[in-house]
Amino acid sequence: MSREEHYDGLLGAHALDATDSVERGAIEAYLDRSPDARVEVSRLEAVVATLASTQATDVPDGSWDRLLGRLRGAAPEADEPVPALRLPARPEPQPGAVVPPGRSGRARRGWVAATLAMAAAMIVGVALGAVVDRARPTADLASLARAAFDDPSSRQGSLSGDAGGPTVRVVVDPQGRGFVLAQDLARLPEGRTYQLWSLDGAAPVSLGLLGADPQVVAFTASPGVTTLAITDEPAPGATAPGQAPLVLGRVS
Amino acid sequence: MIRSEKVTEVLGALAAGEREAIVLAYFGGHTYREVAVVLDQPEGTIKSRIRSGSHKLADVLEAAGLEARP
Repeated sequence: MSREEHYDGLLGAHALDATDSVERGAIEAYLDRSPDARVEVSRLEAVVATLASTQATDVPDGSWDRLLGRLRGAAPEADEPVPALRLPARPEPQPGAVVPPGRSGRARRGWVAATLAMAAAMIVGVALGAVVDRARPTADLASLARAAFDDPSSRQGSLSGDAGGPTVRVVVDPQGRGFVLAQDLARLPEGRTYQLWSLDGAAPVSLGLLGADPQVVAFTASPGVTTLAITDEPAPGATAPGQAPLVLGRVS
Repeated sequence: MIRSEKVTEVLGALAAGEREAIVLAYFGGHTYREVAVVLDQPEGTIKSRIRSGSHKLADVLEAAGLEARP
């Protein structure tokens, strides 16, 4: 594969800002000498901008202000301005506050994207999914979770974020009963909750709230659920993610 | 303004693999390399899915006569 073919293959990811900084620079240089590639990227970037602006204008009155309020705490980077949302400067973390791991430029872009996802989910009317079973004693849940992990017909996986961050193990049995082993997640401050999402459809679907200090938590999902993520949301939870996932992964 | 039903329709026009890759890259804020790891797929596959899925989105939007906003 030639270098040009390599860059052509990356044009879609480039339009979605899904390349790393080194590739981004190289592709920009390539676009300067390839008019066809420039046209393609412009077309794809217009699609992204159109969808984003559509979501923003379609949310109910006042929702966008609330979304922006949730974003207070995100820090725009000098080399990557975000004119559409104009994120305010991020305050210093408070003692005891949980800081999402490694909020780099990409993660911050993720916060913006997640906000758009939230609006998208509002549009399609995504409702909260099954209520997480938190009534049973943890010891009982631990036994059930162990049994599920030992069941060869179950699918399991690990959700993780940035290197060195928490890892959450998940198992889903053939009936869609699942368990999350979330001891690795730090306790959240008052007024916050972890929330579990399925990312298999066009928009994230909530699978339930995990609470501020989850240990072993049960949930119910479609038996075919594959891609899962956990976010930190304001209690009592959100109809769509307001933050980029803290951890994310697949069960298989 | 694009109707909400159209947004749903547009995203629904993608193949499952394309939608999954685009959702993780765009909504999840991941690079295509990260998406490849998450989905346990070759990077080339993810690149192709993102590119083809993005073009399908463009086709649907343009066919519907929806105004692009670069």
